[in-house]
Amino acid sequence: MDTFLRGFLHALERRATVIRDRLAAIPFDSDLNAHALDAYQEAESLRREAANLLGDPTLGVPTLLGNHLRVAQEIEQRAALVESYALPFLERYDDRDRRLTRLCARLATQVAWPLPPPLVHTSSNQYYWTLAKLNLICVPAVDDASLLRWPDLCHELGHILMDRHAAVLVGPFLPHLVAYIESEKRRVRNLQRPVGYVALYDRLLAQWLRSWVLEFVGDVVATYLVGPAFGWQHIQLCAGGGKLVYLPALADISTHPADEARLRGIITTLTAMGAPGTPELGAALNTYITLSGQVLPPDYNVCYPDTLLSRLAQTVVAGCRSLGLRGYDVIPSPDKDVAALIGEAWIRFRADSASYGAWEQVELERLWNEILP
Amino acid sequence: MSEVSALSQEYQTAADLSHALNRAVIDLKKARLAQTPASVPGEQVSGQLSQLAEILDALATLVGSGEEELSDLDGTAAVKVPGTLVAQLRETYAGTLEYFLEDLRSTANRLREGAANVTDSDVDRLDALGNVTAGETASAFRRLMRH
Repeated sequence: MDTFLRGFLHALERRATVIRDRLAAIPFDSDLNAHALDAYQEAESLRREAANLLGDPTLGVPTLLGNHLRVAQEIEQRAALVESYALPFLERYDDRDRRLTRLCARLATQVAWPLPPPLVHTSSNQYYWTLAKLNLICVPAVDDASLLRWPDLCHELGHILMDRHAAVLVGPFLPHLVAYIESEKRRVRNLQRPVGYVALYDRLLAQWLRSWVLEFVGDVVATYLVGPAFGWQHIQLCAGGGKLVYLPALADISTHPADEARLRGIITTLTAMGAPGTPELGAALNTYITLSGQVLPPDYNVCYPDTLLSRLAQTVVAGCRSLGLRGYDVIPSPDKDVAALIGEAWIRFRADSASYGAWEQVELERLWNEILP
Repeated sequence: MSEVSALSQEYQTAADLSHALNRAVIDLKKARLAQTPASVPGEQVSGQLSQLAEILDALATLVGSGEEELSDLDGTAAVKVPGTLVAQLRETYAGTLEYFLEDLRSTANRLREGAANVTDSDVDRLDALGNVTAGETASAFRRLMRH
């Protein structure tokens, strides 16, 4: 294993060098500079970590071999992320990426985003996603040609905010989450639920902790930034994709919580921000549920109680405010404001979808001329 | 919206904890290797252990979730605990959970008191936990890269 580990580290050192040199060869571009520098520094850091370990006199000491192997595995994983995501994003950056990267930077400035704006790439085959640690967002290829899906850009921003400020956004919520699950387990102990439910509640907590909290935070942050527009986009995504909105329920496993609960989280966020009632959102989803013949699974409400969603929304909204983030409800002037434009797009689309396309085209031409003359 | 965002975050949380555990174990083991040129001064090791102790306490509370302890859950430390690890430990130590948690909390207390108070059993416990966390990290990484 000692010989293998040394060979592995030599290979990693060489690979990090290649990645670093490719990053260094990317021509200067003001949009890319900060991202290229971050990626370069990561590659160089990985190269040095591999080289340092090779020079460590304890390399090969039997009691440390497993730990040093883990260090090498960590270097391998981090190198793969830079190689698979940051490097191709930076090397293949084109004018469509530039439009959305600059759009995101404009939005970030307007909402007082507390972090460097992300790099946006238009090459996704899996809708919107982000690699928060690398500050990268990937969107579908034609999303520079429509305003209506941009609320989901804000959801991805929420993932990045969560990566950097999790303690502020959800720290105070976690004790309530764990207490809630424990109270449900107490019902089992009091013979109000079958004994087998304990394992289901353990699994429920694990899913909340693993990824549901993250997804709900993305929703709350997006709603905080663009208001009801995020709710409408969410419903369009559900109905358009034929989604089963009550899944996952108690016995199911998924990275994402149920879409019905997510909409309740969005509505609760609007309420937490002091918005007047938004019954249209709930009514629209209910219409879709009825039309698609979906029924509430057993124990569904146990997974997503209103009290928990409300607590989470209040905590995240308070966190956003403490970070100085500007909400959709306090936009000083709608002129050239990205969040205001997204909100107006959804109002116009819902009011008259037939004439919406012409309006959107004019707005996008104006916007891209400003952003990328 | 796609699974990539959630998987990348799941990977990152596990990777960060795995790194912290492994770093601590390496430093503690090196400090124990007397006469080794690379051994690390005890004070230097102690400096980085108190944060790990906070995470271990949060982990113990999340895995045990005893009602009397929930009010003490440190949310700042709890966000650094991978949800998959909580589930895995509950399953692995189902029959001996109380002992496992007691040992984990004792280790956390000794980490807080400084490297000199950390026992060989503590190092073994941290190493074993680091192995499990590295496994969770590798699993999340494989799922992420499949997308």
